[in-house]
Amino acid sequence: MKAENREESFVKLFAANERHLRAFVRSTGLGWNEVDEVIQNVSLVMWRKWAEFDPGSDFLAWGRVIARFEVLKVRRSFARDRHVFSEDLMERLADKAEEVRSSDRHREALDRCLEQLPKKSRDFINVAYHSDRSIKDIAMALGKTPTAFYKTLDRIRKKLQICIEGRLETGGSL
Amino acid sequence: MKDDSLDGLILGHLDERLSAEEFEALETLLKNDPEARAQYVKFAELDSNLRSATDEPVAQILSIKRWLIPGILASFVLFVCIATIFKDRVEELARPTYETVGVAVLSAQANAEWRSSVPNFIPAKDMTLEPGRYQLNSGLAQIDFFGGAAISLSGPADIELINRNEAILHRGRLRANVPPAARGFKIRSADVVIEDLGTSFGLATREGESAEVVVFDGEVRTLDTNGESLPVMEGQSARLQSGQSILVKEASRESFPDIADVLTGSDNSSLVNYANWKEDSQIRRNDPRLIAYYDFENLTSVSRRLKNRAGSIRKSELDGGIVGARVTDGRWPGKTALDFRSEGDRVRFQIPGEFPELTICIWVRIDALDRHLNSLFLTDYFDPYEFHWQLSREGALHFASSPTGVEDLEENTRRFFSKPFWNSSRSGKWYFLATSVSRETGVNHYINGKRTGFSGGTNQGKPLMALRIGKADLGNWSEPIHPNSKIRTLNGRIDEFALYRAVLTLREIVAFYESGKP
Repeated sequence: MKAENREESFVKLFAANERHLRAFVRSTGLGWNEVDEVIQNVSLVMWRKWAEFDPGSDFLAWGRVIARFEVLKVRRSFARDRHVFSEDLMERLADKAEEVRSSDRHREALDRCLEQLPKKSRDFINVAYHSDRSIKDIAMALGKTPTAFYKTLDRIRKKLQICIEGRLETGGSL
Repeated sequence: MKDDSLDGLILGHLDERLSAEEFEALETLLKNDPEARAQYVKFAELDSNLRSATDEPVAQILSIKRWLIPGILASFVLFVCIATIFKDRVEELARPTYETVGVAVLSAQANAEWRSSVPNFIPAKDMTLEPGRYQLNSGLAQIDFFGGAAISLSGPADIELINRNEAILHRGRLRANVPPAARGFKIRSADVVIEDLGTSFGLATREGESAEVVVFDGEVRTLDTNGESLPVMEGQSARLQSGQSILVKEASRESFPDIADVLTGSDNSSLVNYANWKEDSQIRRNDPRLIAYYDFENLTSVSRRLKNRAGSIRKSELDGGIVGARVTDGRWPGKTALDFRSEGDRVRFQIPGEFPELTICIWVRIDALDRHLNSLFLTDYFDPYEFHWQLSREGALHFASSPTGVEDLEENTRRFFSKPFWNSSRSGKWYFLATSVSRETGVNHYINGKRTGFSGGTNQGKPLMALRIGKADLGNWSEPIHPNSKIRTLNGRIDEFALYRAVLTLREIVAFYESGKP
C-alpha cells in the first residue's frame, strides 16, 4: 500500500468507528474528559500499530481491545478522582458493551425518536448536550434550578431510551 | 436522594452529579446484577450518541428566550451572520444580568488611590473585584482576570470590568498580558473591541478622543462597529477612533506600565506581617490550654517531622510524621508550608487523651475541593468519640463525631456543615478555619475570624460529651470506614495548626486570625 493510501484508509476506518469506540469507552463509566483522552490515546496506538492490522479483520473489535487497555491506564491515573468504578466493574461493563453490538441502527433509531419528541423536549436535549455553558448556567438561563433541569432531562432521556429499544426490537418498523 | 431508581442513578452518574452514597448504591447494583450493567451500557450509548449528534446551533435556543426585544433581536441576527468568532460573544450576551460574582482579583498595587461604582467598596490588595466601574485616581495596579488575562493599570484610569474575560477602558493606560489559555480576552475602547489572540499589548485611551493600541508580542484583532476586524501584529499599532480602527505607522512612544513596576512600587507589608506573626506565634505556643501546636516553620525537603511547639518543655511524642507532602511556600515568602496533593500526602499524628472541650485551628490554602469530602484533620477510621474535620465539595467546613463510632452511624453521628464559604474563584487564597466544641457551647465554626451558621447536618441537638483523637491524619484519611470509601486527600497547603483542650472565645479567634492574615 502506498503511504498516502495507507493513511487515508486508516483515517476513514477510524472515522467510521470512532462513535462506536466512544460509546464503548463511555460504557465503562468514565467521564467525558477521560473518554476524550482515551479515544485520543486509542487513535494514536492504532495508528502506530496500523501496519500490523490484517485488512480482513474487524477494525472495531481491534479498537475495543486497545481501548480496554487505555481505559485501565487512564483509570489508574484518575484513580484518586471521585466516582470512578473499580477496575473489575469496568471490565465487566466493557464485556457487557461488547455483547451489545453497537450498530448504526441505534443512531438511526435515536434520530427517529428525537423527531417524535415535542419540539420543546428536543430543544432541551440540544441545549443540555451542545452548549459550552455549564448546566448551572443553562438552568439559570431557562429559569430552572439545576435539580429541576436534570429531572426534566432524565424524563426525556428515559423516554428516548424506551422509544429506541422499541424501534430496535421491531426492526424499526414502528 | 432525588431519584434512586436504577435509571436515575445511571443518568446521574453519566452526568457526574451523584452523591457519594448514591454512587456507592449504583456500584453495588452494577456489581451484582448483569441486567443493571446492560442498562448502564444502553444509557451510555444513548448519552454518547446524543453528545455526538450534530444539530442546530445552541446559541439560538438559549438566546432567543432573552432576546425578545425586536431591536436587539435584529442585532442578534447580525451577530449570527458575522463569522464564528462572535459565537461566544452571543452566548455571553445571553448570560443572565443578575450574575454578580467576582471576575478578577487585585493582585498588587502601588500608591494606588481608588474610587469604585460598587457601594461602600474600596479596592485593596488581594480583593476580588466584581463587575463594575473602578477609578484609579493615581498609582499603579495589577488586575488578574479569572479568565487568565492580567492587566497592569496606570492611574489616572477608569476601567469597567464586564466579566472574567472582558473589560472597558474608558480612560487611562494599561498593558495586558494574555497567556494562551486566556486567548479571546477582550477590551473595549472608543467603541472598538480589541480581541486578544494570546499576546501582550498596550492600550491608551483619553476620554472622548482616540485610543491607541500597541502590540508588543503576538497578535490582536480589533473589531469596529461595522463588524470589520483588523489584525494588528507584533510591533504594530493602531488608532481607534469613533468606532473605527486604522493601522498607524508611528507607534506611540508612551510608556505602558508593567507588572514589575507595580510590584517594585508596592510596599513590603508581607515582610512586616510575617515578622509580626512570628512574634505572636512565640507567645501563643505557651498557652497552657494547648494540646499541641505546629508552626510549620523552617521545614526543608528532608524534614520528616512536624514539630510540636506547644509549651516550654518540648513534647516530641506529639510531633507529626510527614508523609509525601512537599515543602513549599506558606502565607509569606520565606515561611514554609506543606503542600498536599497526591493520594499519599499526609501528616500522621498520635495524640492520646479524652477532651471534654476542644478547639481546632488551621491556616490552610485551598486550591480545589475536587472530592466529595476533603480532609483537614481526620482521625483514623471513626471510632467512638473520634471526630472528622473536613471540607465539603460545596465549600462548607464540616465537623462530625459520634459517641458510638460507626455503630448506628445515622442515628448518632452529629454532623455540622457550615454555610459554604469557598468556591473555585477563591482558589489559592489562605483561610483561617476554626471549630470549637463543648457540651455547653455546642459546635461553632469560624471562617477568617467570623462565626458562621450551619447549612446542614444531623443530630445537632444531641450533646457531644467528649472527643478523642488517637491516630489521625492532617490532609488525608487513613483507615477509611468502607474499603471503597473515596479518597479525601486535601488539595492545598497548610502552614499552621493548633489544637486546644478548651473553647476559645470569639475574641481569641479573631486575634489568632488578625495576627496571621497574609
